[in-house]
Amino acid sequence: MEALIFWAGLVAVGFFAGRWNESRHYRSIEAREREWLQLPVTSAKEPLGDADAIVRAELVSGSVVVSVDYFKRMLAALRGIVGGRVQSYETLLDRARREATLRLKESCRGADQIVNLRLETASISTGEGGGVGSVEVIAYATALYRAPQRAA
Amino acid sequence: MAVEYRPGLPTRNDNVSHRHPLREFVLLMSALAFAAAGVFWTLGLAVDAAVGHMSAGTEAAVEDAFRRAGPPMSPADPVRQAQLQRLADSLLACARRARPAQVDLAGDSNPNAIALPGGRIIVMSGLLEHVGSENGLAFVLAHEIAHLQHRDHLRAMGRGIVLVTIAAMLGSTGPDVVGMLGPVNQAQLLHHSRERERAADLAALDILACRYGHAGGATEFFRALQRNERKAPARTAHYFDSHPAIDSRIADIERAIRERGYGAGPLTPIALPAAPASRH
Repeated sequence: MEALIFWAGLVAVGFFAGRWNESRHYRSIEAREREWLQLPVTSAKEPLGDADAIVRAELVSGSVVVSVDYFKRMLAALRGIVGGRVQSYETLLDRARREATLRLKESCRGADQIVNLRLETASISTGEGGGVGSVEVIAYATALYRAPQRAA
Repeated sequence: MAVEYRPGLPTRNDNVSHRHPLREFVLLMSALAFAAAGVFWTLGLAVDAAVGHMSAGTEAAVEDAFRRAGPPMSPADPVRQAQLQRLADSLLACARRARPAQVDLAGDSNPNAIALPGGRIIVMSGLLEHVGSENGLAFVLAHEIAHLQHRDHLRAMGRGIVLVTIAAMLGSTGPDVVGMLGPVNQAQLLHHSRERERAADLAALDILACRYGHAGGATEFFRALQRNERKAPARTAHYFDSHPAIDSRIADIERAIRERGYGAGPLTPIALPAAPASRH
């Protein structure tokens, strides 16, 4: 009985804390995405617009590690028995991808555009049972800079 | 080729499911619990069938394995325990069971007795306060002997193994399901289904009649519990969770006494020494 109460408590803590963290993170992501909307990021190899105006290119990256909560882990474990979409990890990875891309953008203020965006995901296992503990997403790309425009 | 950049954000996130996670959790949990219960039920029937077909040799081997595995009990009261053992031995002579049964007296105020997988019978000392004659006590012992005779203790053990196996399989994905289901397993080890209890009552009646020549005192323990329950309902209620309701149980026993023509004779006074203070 104690084991059941302990487990239910962990699931409840995981659920409420996880929901709170996730909605806070999403609010931050959405606000920053609006803020950085004017900096184009593409996965294309060629720059947008006039390539001759580019004077500098540099490798930039942004990485983030987000942990799964107990509730999400239980939900994924249940899914692991019956199969199907692991709904609980979808938001986790979505947040990680967007956060990594935002950090990448934030690392190159003043860039004209970012091309050749790549995203890579790694899971950081908790060790015991091989369960997924956290996910890391790293975004890397090439930031392109134009010559500073002189005031007319 | 120049491509124009038009800033904009998607209005809807298609990379995530928008269903509430709790809904998914409850749905999956109940589906799994349902499936696990179905497997438990099916394998429980398989256990019943297997126990029914088990040879006497296998039965003996299983009991011996569990007797060795069981914790050694220091008797709460060696004198009374020895008397209980003698009474049980005299009843065993009347039972369709070739093997002995070891009786242990446990210092526990609950009026209860249980038959364990090792062919052991544990009598809680609280039970002794609820019987006035040797016949009344003999019926309770005969009831437990009947459980052994019917291999109900092996059925319960088989179900326990099934339960722990299912729990271990589910638990391999995360939480300690074995620990969570511990109380459930304990409960199902101690309680048998209503039909098994009825069958044990009827077999106990035969043993009692064989031992004393009549079935007097058969309902003594239940009547004492009945009185007790009226006085303090909560104290004994747990004993009857899976037992047939006490009134219908007494009625069934009395009907069987009439049908089998056992009748009632003089009760043997209980020869047990006065109860010492409970040590637990």
